[in-house]
Amino acid sequence: MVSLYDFLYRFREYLLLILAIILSFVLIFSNDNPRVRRFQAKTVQALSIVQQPLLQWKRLGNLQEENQRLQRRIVELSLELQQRDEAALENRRLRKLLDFQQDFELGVQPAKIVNRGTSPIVNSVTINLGRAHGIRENQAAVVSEGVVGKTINIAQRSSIVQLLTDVNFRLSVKTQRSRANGILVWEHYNICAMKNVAKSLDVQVGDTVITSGYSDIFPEGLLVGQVIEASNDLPGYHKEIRLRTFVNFSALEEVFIVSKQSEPMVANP
Amino acid sequence: MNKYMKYTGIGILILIAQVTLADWIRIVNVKPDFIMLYVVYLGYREGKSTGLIFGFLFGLIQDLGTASVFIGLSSLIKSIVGFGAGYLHGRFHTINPIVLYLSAVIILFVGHFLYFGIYYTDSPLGMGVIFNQYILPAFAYTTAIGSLVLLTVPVKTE
Repeated sequence: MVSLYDFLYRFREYLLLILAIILSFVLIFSNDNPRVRRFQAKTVQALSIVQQPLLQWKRLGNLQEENQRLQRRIVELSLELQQRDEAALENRRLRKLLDFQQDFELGVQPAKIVNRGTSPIVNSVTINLGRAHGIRENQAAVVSEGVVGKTINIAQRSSIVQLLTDVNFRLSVKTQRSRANGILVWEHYNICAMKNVAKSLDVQVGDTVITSGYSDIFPEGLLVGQVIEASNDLPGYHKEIRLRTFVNFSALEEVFIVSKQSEPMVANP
Repeated sequence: MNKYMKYTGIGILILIAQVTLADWIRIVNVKPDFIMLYVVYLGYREGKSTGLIFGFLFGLIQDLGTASVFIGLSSLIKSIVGFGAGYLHGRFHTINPIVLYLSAVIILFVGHFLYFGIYYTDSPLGMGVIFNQYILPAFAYTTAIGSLVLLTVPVKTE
């Protein structure tokens, strides 16, 4: 009679495989466990120690060019700001007349990307700000070109930002011109689909898409992208809309974390 | 030095290369998967158990090292890849090297196919898009890097 030991020894490789598969599935199904997420945040922070000097070196190479570009941008923005200040004052006056609720003022905190992960695809990045800097889960991450993602996992001195290019990311958006609302779902590279837009609504190629402001995470009016395809060809009640994001996700080096001004923010170290 | 310690040390170096070099040489959003190559190599060199155990461990580190929505997916795939590559162990003198190479390529393909197939299960993308834009580029890139290493580093028999 074959003993249990002989059986286990004979099939040890297959038993190991089954064990590895079971363990992997246990991990997959405990992804929302805070302890697993905390451990993940610590691992990411440890790996960023390796990646940070390399990214720093890469940044230094582009510094002069970047500096010139930023100086030009500062001038452009200050001119734009002057015009917007005027518009904001007018807006505030008119809102007061209409007795509208005051919007939240927004603040931003610059963060450096210190790790792009080890996965074969880039769908998240690690930034150098964490709980110690007042960062919390579900804060919007943006750059001047538009929405980048949101914070999902916060360690003491670093955080993981889930990018818009993650297949599980959803964003409530609207077109700036016709205010048609929809849900943004990433498709590939920098192309996204805008879902749930009724066929009766007016959406045209070239329309700018912004955040709708319906979520607690993303304030209204953040740039997202531009419509590159809009048709009523799909069966059903909804349009088929595709847009190109303004952000180049493969060249991200810094992001800004958006906070409401009333929320505490700690200065960048 | 114990060979398993050596494999672990090399694995850590490859992990560092995955964090740094892979990002450096990525094309658009696609990076080569050095860890998968290493797991295939370990399976071929040492057999199913070693390939599987190292595949699981390095896959787990890879999952934890990124904001993966599926912690455990890389460990699952790399365990299977390491186990599969273990079938090539001891075959260097018994089968044609080209067949051996093609078998390793098929294992890499299966690894990429399973990884991206599961990763994008809930996505609105069709299988054709996933295949053309993720599975194929990542597999081709990883295989190209692996083939390059194979051409420059002499293959050791077991």
